[in-house]
Amino acid sequence: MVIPMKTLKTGLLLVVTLAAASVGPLIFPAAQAGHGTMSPLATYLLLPAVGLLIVTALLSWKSMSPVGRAIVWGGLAGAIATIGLEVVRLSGFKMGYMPGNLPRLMGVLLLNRFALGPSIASDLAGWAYHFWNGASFGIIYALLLGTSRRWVGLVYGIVVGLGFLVSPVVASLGVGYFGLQFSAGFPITVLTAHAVFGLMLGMLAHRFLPAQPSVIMTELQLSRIFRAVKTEINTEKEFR
Amino acid sequence: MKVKSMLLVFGLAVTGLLARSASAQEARVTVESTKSYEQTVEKLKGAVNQGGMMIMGQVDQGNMLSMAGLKLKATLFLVGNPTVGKKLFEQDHGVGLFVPLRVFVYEDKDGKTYLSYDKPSALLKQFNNQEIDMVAGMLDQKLQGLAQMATH
Repeated sequence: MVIPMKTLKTGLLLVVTLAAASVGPLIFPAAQAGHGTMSPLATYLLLPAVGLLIVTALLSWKSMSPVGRAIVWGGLAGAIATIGLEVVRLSGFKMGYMPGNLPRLMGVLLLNRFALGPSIASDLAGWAYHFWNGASFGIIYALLLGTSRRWVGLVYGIVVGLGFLVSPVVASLGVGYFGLQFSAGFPITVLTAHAVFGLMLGMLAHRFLPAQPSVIMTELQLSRIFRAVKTEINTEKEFR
Repeated sequence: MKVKSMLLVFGLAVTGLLARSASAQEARVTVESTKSYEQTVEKLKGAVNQGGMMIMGQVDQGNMLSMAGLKLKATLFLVGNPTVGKKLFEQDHGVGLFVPLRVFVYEDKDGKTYLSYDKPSALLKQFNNQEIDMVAGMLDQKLQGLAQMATH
């Protein structure tokens, strides 16, 4: 079976785009797990990844490539959906259900000024990083799952929230498994916030990119490849 | 007889604990400031400079804990002098646990501002070194002067 060159090129583009979109959400848990610190990870990994995504979007925009559209509109949907997440998160924080104000913590880590506490610059950095993560999850959502079914966004958001609860970030806060040692309100707030994020993401992504199927499935023609592989396997069995 | 020796051991242990607690209390110096928290911090910075020392670092616990929703005014300062530090480190590298010195300025729940530190002579006497003890004694006096300047 020969895989077309166009498919290979698209596959490579997709892998690179997904990797670049994943950098943002990964550097915080990586740092909290002890694999580097936020400030250099952001400087040497996050900023180049952001640049790469911008360049990819610009280059593929004219050709109306689904990858370029997923980056722009998926990213925008994710960033806006983060506002919904914030409404829930901030409310939870004010009510004492959250151990700390995470965007502010991310900001002091990004600017390497934990001992001095937050500043205007670190708050800006933390919020920018927080919303970039929302955009990144939006890009990944549009590429992997498509925007056809709005309810998929809700499931996606809850999965992301669950991932956060078992991540090294929560472990580093010292609040126990699922944050239950701190308060039952913690996992409830986190999951509710991410559910709202996912719901908004699903709706907005559908609005911006109506009925776009999973880019991975269509651009890589994975269904055709699966059928081709299955045919080859069956053919080999027949010869035996 | 057995009961008597047990009581003796118990008595000695309690005395030891009380002595240790009293010793820790003697090591701690807390000075109430006549100024506000912000003014005390500014005066401390000036006093450190005039006293031939430097602020080598600071931990703004108040600002840090604001991320956890706590309203607090408190800063820990690491105060020292490289030349003096060198003399101490030449005697025993273990002094690094206590040097630079820690000076803590905070506003308590009563709204008053305090400056607090542990006497270097108390912290460093565990090294059983005459040279270190001499330098520590000098640092005691420095910090005392510093505390007075910053709080009045």
